[in-house]
Amino acid sequence: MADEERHLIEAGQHGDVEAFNQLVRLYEGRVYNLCYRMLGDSDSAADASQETFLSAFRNLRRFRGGSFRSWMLRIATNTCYDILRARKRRPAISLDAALATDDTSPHAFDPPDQHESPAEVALRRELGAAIQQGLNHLPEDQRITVILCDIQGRPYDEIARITGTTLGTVKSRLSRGRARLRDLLKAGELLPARYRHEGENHGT
Amino acid sequence: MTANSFQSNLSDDDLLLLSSYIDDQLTPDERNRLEQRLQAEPDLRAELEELRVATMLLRDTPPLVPPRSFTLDPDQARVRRPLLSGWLRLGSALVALMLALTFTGVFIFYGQNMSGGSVAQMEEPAIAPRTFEAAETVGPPGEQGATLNADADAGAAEQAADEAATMSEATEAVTEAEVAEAEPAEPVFVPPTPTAAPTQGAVPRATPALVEPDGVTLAVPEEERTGDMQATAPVPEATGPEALSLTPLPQSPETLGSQTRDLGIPPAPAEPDAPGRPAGLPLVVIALLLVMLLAGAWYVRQRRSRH
Repeated sequence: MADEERHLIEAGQHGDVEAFNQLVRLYEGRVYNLCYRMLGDSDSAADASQETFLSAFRNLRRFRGGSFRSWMLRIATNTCYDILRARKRRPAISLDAALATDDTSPHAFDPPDQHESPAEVALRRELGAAIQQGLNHLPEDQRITVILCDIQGRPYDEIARITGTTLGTVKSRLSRGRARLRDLLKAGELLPARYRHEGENHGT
Repeated sequence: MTANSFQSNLSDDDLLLLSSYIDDQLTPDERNRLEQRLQAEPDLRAELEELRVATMLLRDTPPLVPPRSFTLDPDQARVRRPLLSGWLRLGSALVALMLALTFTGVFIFYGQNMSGGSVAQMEEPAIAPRTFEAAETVGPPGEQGATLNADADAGAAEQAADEAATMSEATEAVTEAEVAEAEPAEPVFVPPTPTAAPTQGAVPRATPALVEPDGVTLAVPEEERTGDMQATAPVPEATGPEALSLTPLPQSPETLGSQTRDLGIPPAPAEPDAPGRPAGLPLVVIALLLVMLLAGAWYVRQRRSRH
């Protein structure tokens, strides 16, 4: 853990909100992306992210060292689980709306690279929407594992700590999640045509 | 989405191997064996390539930009102090526990008192309902009055006597008592000084010339009376109003038993320890409440500790 981050955490543990806000700025992108991929829409993801940081600040005294990033992602994961559980209890929105994604929103992604053509930007958004639709169909435990491993790039042992499971469980969920996502992408032709052709070329 | 038709035929073990192979998580030995299989099995190789593409697409998923900043303002971030601080919570828990114990003690003490005085207190309540029951079985006063007015009609009394030989209901028993007046040879037992006020009015009028103050039936031969008294021995013991039913003496104890059942008279007095039973109930309720309280506190604590 970097010294600066440790100092910020200690200051936050003594009630320094501004110090904690520096930590928020460091992690808000990562937390928001995890929440978005888990929940599937930007409003819910924003609410979950805000709740995550609020909960983290209020429970900062309980942080006993180790990876602060893992601790934050664990809180975010639990917050998402709570929201998904509440959705099941009160299904206020239809299943189609829940499975829909607003990845194609022009403000959803990082600003396009200067060298990217409009066609490439559109393709990137289309890919993001396709991936999100596939993720929405995965069971929650497989979804969080795939997100943490393949989108967030976390190693297996850290995923096990974040999700509170064992290494074997992480491997099993990951293999099943990837296989199911592969099946979904192939079956529903969710992928943009260019990616489908690439996949076919890879397969041959 | 019909993904089933596109599902591979790989086993879970093979899927696990391929997934771990993509992430370079296999041991050297596992890796060598899998690579040998991949060379020999084109289907397995195709599956690996498809999984690799799906993983690559996931890793290429472009990151999203948060729609706003999630920094906290000091007012929002203020830690909500619980309404009761730690020591105060402990104190209130102790007070609650003492209250529960106090109430438990009171209930136990109350229950024991009820058990100790139960015999004396149960005598009166045991009589009252049965008196009422007997009043019901004898019938309304109007009916009795009508029956008594018919005393003068000896012919009717004789006819009633014939019918009463086969009847077992209490209202008819009153008529049967009148028959006994007309035919003194018929054995009749009337209890001494009935105590139940509501039904006494009709009874003494029904047999004014038949019963002596000591309750012994007149004009009954000694041997018959003795036999009848033996046959009805349980009846005088009952101070309750079942004696008010003016039941004609049965011919045998079996007959008596059946008639008693017909009248709906409780066969035995109430158990003296009956009031002591509810004394344990508050203990159980309080114990259940305490267990539920502890379970709730544990659940809330678990939920909070998740964060």
